Amino acid sequence: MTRLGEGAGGHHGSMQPLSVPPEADRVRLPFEVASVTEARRFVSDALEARGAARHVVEDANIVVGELVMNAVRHGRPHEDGTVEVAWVLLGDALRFSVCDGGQVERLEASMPSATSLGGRGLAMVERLCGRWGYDTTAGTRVVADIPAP
Amino acid sequence: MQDRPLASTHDPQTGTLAFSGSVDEGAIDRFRADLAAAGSPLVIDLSDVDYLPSVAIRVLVQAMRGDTEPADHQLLAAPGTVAQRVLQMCGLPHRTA
Repeated sequence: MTRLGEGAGGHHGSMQPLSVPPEADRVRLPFEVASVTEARRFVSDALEARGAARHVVEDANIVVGELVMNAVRHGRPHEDGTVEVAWVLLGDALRFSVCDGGQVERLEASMPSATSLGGRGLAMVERLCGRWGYDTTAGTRVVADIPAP
Repeated sequence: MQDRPLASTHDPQTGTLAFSGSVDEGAIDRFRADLAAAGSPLVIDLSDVDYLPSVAIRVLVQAMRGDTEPADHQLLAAPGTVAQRVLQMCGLPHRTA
């Protein structure tokens, strides 16, 4: 079951699952913190090759960086010891997906107070993304869309 | 995009600590150390930072909290920069000029 979070675009209540189509660009990276930089490079290189605007590349780095960091810190590796990162250009959005091998009950994206130490990663993703959701049928896949200009 | 390594410049006269580059997972210890070494109070200028993830925000919040009492730091990030966007979305008070 795919659960949807409330994004900045207010897409809560929709039952449209956020799927990752087969043509998405995917990579499997080692389940380690160093893969945050790898994942960001993978996405940055692809977006820059397509002439994406600087702020789009910056936002993509934030989204992918936070999702991969969350996965390797709080999730579990797939059986092959990896975390999967994927991206695809849709009609109205850039969709990013990070999938680890773990299971979660529920993901929360509420931004903690300005003086709180932690818990901001997913909230930052939500602020940037019009839609996001997660799927726990095969590991934990978090999918998030940056509106395409 | 080649990630620029994290670097900082401290001007003790103006009390400004300006960072450049990416505060990625490999640079976070350096980020924390540079903040601690620059003393207090500081204007922490993040305008030239390329990447400011939540782990970096955590270090900033900790630096603002100080050890025994809140440090008298100000955050600065110019409009249009990724740091300004991140500080804004995290609700951290900051200057833009």
